[in-house]
Amino acid sequence: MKRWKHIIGLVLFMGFFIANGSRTTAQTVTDSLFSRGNNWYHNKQYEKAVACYERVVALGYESADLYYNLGNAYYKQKQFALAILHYEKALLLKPGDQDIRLNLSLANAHIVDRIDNIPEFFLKRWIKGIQNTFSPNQWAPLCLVFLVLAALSFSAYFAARNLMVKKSGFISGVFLLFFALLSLYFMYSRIHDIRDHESAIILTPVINVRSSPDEQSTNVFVLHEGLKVVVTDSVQNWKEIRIANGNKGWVPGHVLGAI
Amino acid sequence: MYRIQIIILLFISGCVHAQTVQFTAEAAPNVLEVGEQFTLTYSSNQAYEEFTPPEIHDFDLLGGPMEGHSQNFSSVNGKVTTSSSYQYSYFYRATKEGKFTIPSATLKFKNKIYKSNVVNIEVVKGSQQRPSHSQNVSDQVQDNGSSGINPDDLFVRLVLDKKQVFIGEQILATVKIFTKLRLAGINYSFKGPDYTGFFIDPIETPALRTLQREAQGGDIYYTGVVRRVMLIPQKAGDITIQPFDVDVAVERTSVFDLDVPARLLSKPVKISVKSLPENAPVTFKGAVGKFSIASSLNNTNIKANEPLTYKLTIRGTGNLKLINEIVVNVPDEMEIYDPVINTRFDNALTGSKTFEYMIVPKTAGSFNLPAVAFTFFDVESGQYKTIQTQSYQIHVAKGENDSVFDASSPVNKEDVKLLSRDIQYIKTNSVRLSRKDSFFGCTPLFYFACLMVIFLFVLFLLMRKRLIRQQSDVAGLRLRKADKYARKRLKSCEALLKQGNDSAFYEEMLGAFWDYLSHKLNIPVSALSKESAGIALKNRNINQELIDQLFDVTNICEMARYGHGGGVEKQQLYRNAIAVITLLHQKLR
Repeated sequence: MKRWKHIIGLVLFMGFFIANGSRTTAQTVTDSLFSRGNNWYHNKQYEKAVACYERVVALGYESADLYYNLGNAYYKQKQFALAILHYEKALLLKPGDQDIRLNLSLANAHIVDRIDNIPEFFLKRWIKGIQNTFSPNQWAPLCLVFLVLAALSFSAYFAARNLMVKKSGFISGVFLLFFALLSLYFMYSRIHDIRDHESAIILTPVINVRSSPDEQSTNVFVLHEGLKVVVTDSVQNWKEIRIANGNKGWVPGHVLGAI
Repeated sequence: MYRIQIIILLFISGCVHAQTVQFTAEAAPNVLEVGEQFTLTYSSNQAYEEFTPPEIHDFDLLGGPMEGHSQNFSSVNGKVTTSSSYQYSYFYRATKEGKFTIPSATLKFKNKIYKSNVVNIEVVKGSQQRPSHSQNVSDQVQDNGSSGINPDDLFVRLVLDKKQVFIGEQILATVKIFTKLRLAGINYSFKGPDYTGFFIDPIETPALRTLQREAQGGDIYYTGVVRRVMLIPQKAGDITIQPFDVDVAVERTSVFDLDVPARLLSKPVKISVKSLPENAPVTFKGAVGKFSIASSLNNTNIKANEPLTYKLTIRGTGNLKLINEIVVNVPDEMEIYDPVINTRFDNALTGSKTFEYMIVPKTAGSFNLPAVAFTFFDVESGQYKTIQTQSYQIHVAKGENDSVFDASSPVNKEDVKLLSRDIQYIKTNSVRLSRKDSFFGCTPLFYFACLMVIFLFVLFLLMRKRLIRQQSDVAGLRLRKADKYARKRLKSCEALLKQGNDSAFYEEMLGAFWDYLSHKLNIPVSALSKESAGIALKNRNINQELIDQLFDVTNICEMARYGHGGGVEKQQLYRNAIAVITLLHQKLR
């Protein structure tokens, strides 16, 4: 009896934690900024809308919708590179969103560089596809649900007298446990993607990509704004980038906007 | 008071400024032989108050000072200007040869002291003959054949300002006629010297009107420059400029004589040309001399695709004409066009060359227009020198129609379809903003929840284990309880069995059974029959085996009661009855 009391107490304590973190004054400020930005956008005052949204971002808050709206406001001002950057950020948080995907493809239609993608291995693509179905904060409860179900299944396996119940309990338990681990992996892989800022968008109209991190080195190729690149290395203020067709080169860090 | 003074000063200075004081000294002639006279004249455009001549000991004063005054009116486009000249003149005779300098004189005008320039005078020993006047040319012509002119009296020379030069260094070559005779004319279209190996840049030479007095080899000649040329050597080595000839006519001495033609032959001139040192920097493009470079940019804040004018000016002395290239580097984001080149000469040697470039930035951004390095070979020090312009930071704003998004980019059909579409509207339904980088999966809560699930599962397993143990205990207990219950029910039977009262034993046994079933199955004894009890027991999930066993016991009891089956062991029957009731009791509860 004493042990149960302890556990209930802990759960209550954690619950208190969540409840406490959910609503703060900062959040109401950002919410109002966000809705003000929406109003400006509605009234076609895109610059002011951008200012409002950017303040929310500066305060350290984010959401897929915020980035999506910010991308829209930039798009309306014909700043396609910044629009793409924010759509990509939004997509990272909410990969399944059709609106974001559509607007991103519209913005991408405006950029100069057309680089052929090297198609990824189909299995990797599938796994990425599954992984991107949910955001990390959706994967986490999913993982917990699977874990609970797995625990229940195994409990059934242990508790049941009936052989059928026992069998099905064991099999479903194994599968559910596998799913739980898989969603755990997907969650951390997504978190890694979001935190790592592995990809970036070129924000300068034209940039010479150099063969080494040096102003004097030879130009390898030229890229234009709005292109998505992968940052593979970094030396001081220089970043090594890889574009979709596999070519590599160095650019000064300030020309990139990390996703 | 102070202010009034300033106003007065301004007024005075204004007056003075209107006519500044010019005070010059001049000696004529300034090249002369011993015993010759010359005039030293000081002239000023203002009537002075006080004039102090310098002290002169090198010459004999013959006369002076003579004061003079002249006034000059001129009318240009109806505007009349007046200029006055006040002069002091002295007459001197040269007594000894040498080069002399007459120091400056001073002049006082409106309480201010002005100084004249210094005057240089060269005195040569001189020949006994007076030039040209006393000479009987026609006599000489007859004496010396066709030319008949003493070559010491009339000759032509190619005069170079230097004879030891580097490749690319400028040489001023002058064709000069020296004469003691009066010349009637010169054929200017003579075939000039052959300047092979040189870049030739002719210099405009005015037609000869007056000859200058010049000392040459202890004699005084009248000299005239016939032709001037700038030479720039193109190859190293000793170069000899071959002699050339000029046709002249010497003036007749009397009305009845004819002008005497003469052909003058120059002397060969040797020039040694040194090659430039090997270690030339990359930026050296052949400039030799002494130069400075300046740059200017008309604007540093412009929009993309608008032109910038970038001007580089090289000024100095040297082979300006041969400088045709400057290495100008611009950022890759800019386009530079070929320059417009302008050359302007201040005089024969110095001048400036302007390279005007048009630069068009193609994209927005902040760019550095690097410094331009210009290297020339400095003749004086014999070394390469590199000079640099300043660098410029250019801020380029986005142009009106930026070419980056123009039709130049290849757009496929799909893109055209996309480009015509508008984006989806923003999301306005209230979203939950979360702090950046706040992932539930990384919070302790998540870890706690995961551990909690596992912990609860393990706890469940442990609990279940204990329960099973307890349950197994309960079964044993129940068995014991049921056994006890059955024995209690059949207690009277046991007593009768010991007494040996057979019929009462069977009676009692049957009664106990029916009593038990009626009690357990909730069926009144009156309604109880074998069939109804069997159905009820079946409904309570009692297996057929046990039911058969039960009815076996009751059948035996019934049969024995009515005197049949005497062979049944009573003890065995009793034990069977106990076992049946115990089992039933366990199942029925």
